[in-house]
Amino acid sequence: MSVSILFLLVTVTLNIIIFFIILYVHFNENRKKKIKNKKRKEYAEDINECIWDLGKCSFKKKKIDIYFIDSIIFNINSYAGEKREKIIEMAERAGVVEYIYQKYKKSWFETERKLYIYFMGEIRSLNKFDELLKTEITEVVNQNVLFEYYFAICRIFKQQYENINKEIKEKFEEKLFEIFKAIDETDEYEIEKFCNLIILEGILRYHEEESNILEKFFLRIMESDISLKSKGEVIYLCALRQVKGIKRYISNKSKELLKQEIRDRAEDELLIKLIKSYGEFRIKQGEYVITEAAKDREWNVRATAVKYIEKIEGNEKLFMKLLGDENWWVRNNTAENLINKGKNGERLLINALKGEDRFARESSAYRLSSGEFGIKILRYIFEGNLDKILDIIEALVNEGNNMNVLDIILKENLVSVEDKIKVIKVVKNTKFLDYYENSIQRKDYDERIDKAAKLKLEEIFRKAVIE
Amino acid sequence: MKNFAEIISLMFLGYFIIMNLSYFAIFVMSYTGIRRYRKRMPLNNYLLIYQSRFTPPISLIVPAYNEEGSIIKNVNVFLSNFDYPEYEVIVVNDGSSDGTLLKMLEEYECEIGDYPYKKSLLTKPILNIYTSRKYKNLKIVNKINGGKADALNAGINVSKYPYFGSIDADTILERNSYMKVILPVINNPRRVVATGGIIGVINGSKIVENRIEEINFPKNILAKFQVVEYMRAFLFGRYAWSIVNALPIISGAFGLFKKSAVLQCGGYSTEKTKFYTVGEDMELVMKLHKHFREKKEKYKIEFVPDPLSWTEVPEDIKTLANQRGRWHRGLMEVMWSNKNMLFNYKYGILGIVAMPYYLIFELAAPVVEILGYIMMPYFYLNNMITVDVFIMFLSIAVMVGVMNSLLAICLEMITFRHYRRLKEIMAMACFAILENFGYRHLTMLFRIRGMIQQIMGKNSWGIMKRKGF
Repeated sequence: MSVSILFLLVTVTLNIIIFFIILYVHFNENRKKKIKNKKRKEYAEDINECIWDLGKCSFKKKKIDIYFIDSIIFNINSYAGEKREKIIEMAERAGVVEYIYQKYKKSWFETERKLYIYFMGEIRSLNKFDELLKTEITEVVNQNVLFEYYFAICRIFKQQYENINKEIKEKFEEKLFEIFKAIDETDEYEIEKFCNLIILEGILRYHEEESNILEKFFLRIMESDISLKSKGEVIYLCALRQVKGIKRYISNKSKELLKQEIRDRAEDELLIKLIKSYGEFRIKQGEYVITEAAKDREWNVRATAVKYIEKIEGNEKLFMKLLGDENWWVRNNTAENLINKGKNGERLLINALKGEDRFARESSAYRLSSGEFGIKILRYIFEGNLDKILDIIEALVNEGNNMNVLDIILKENLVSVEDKIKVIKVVKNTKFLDYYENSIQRKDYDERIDKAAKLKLEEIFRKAVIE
Repeated sequence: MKNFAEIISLMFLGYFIIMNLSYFAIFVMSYTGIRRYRKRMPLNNYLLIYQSRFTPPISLIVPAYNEEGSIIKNVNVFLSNFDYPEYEVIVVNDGSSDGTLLKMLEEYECEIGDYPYKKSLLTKPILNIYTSRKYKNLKIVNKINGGKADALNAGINVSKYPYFGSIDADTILERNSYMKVILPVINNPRRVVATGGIIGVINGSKIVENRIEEINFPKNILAKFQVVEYMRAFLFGRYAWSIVNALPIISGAFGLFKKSAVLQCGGYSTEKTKFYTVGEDMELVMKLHKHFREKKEKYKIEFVPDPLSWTEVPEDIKTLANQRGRWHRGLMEVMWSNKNMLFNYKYGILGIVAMPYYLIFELAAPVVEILGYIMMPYFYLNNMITVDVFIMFLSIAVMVGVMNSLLAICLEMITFRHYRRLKEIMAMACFAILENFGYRHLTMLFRIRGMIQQIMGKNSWGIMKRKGF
């Protein structure tokens, strides 16, 4: 047999073998999946099974796999007291900690490292923790893994927090600061930011009762040479904490530092966050910051701040200025805030309508008039085109549409008295009656308008009687 | 003459042997890599990624051109049927001449927003940016027509998040596809600059509201061949190149990129050179490679060996011919524009191995293989080569080809097992064999046609006929 035929036969045979492998895989995978599902269910549901398996690992040196660790964690989480302690003890004896440690050292994957750290926290083992943490901080710096570290530390400490002596507490605080500082020194902004959040959120979540830690931590960060960006995150979280009113923990000294940092801010994001946190929780202390921020040089800061200005009194000038701001978002947010304030806000918007600032007029018109018709009317008012106004009002009346604009025209001196009379003559629905009633109550109407209105009223009344 | 024929036939044999050996090496690499990936899969806690506010937010850029009929349905999927903690959808209307824009403005209750953006990349003018009252995370960019690459660049300019994904409007995504594709970024945020995933064949599957209900083997014969072909291309090729950080392409239909890195490279190529860019996706990835390797910065372009998106493949010869021709033209132009990287040790494995591989076994393959299939029988029939050489050629060209396809199916079976019925598996195996008796050669001819078109200066996209879902 020649080499070529032999080669042909070999390739054909190989193809047949591969084909059978495919078939084998097909049937075998189905079988394996069933077994795996069953096994995982057993692991996760039966504590005795878990302990039994741990025992087997410990005595027979059976290989530990990742599913198994998953199930141990599940069981540790599910049980308390003796059962829980038993699993932890068995896990330690079975060499799970060592296995995890070895795995961690080899793993470059965040998810794996996270699981191992989580497990360390669960079994409250500080074994080799320092070493791993150091590697993580200096070599890898993965924010999510550090997050897990932090929570693991917190879990370990929280359980016995009351019993922990002063020395350990100080050590813990020291460690926190070390992590924070180490992260701050890395050049990757995002990681830095995330990690800062991680550390502080950890404190907020696990040590609410220990406000002293926070206070100390805050002051230490503020007084250190840590970058402004990182400090920004601290300020934000502290502000958030303060406005939520969970606990008082910022002293006057911290407040002073906070103000100073805001003034010297390196970026706007921080201030925006602060404004939001003050604004959303309506905190008195924040009012000053918000009004000052509304005068800021950056449009995004102004746009955010103006949304949260509470009082109109005393801020009229500021509002008028912002209504005519060069940026659309600022104008829009100002008008929106004013319209939400009710009559006083509307009054300011109407004043802007009469003003000379084109931007202010436009943004007020947009907010005051709902719908397309309203915008058109206001535009024609500025153009002095009464015929078109009357046409539109007629169309509005016939369609029974929103008549806010009509109110504005009749109440305010946007058009002349003669024009108002003409407008009244066109109106025929109940909205007019409301207006008339209001004007009588206010007693600030013009006689000529009053006469026209009375006539119109009679007309409407007569029509109603006939109908 | 006989000597000449023998030398030529030996050259063909050598070509096929080296090609198949390299395929096999790629298979081994992919196999080990995918097994590792699969082992780690249970550890990937997608719920955590979804809930975590540390998951980087992303911008999805959807270029649209004259897609009046399907745009709403497609965009709706990205807006409502999609799992990701924080994202924005930017639909770029690239100067459509039909009602694509109007339909979107109406459906999403859009208003012109005074949206500030930085013109980091040079594009055709943006006329308006619309924001939706219905969906806060939707932006519609209306711009003057400038092609897909230009539309994507405009989308990058408008996007606000640090990572962006490019998606074709007609691609069907898995619900959690971007959570899977962001994993390499989360694992290594400093280095990973781009990621992509496997694209599967959707023909014949049950689709409900642009979501895959049930994956079925296609009914159309051409599509059946392409299932095996896609398996080979994605499971074999791309993942193996990704392991050695020499992945030359992330499909334009589905990919995720680090915005800062893309901006550093100047975004997608829009220049109309001799080789007009139809393969903008490959061009961008090559640019990223070039940029970081020249700067000697550590980076990684990763491929997730998980089917994350699905696409409809051509079911008629004409569309298939157009598509293959276009792909080949794209490959040609990218190879041309990056010719200085070829055999250049500065670019590491990419320059020394991956690019030569693409040149010899991808770009030149249609010509060499077709010549081989014509000349070898001719030599044999004219007694210029022995029967041994001829059988050897057939064994290597056909039987080893079959083996590669079967190995790809085997890999799919071990890993994802989308086709679970025995009937489907048998059908796949049959088509893996049958493709070596006509289909493969047909696609080779289409690719040669593409090469000729490129040389003649034809650079249109051609018509891509789709049945729709």
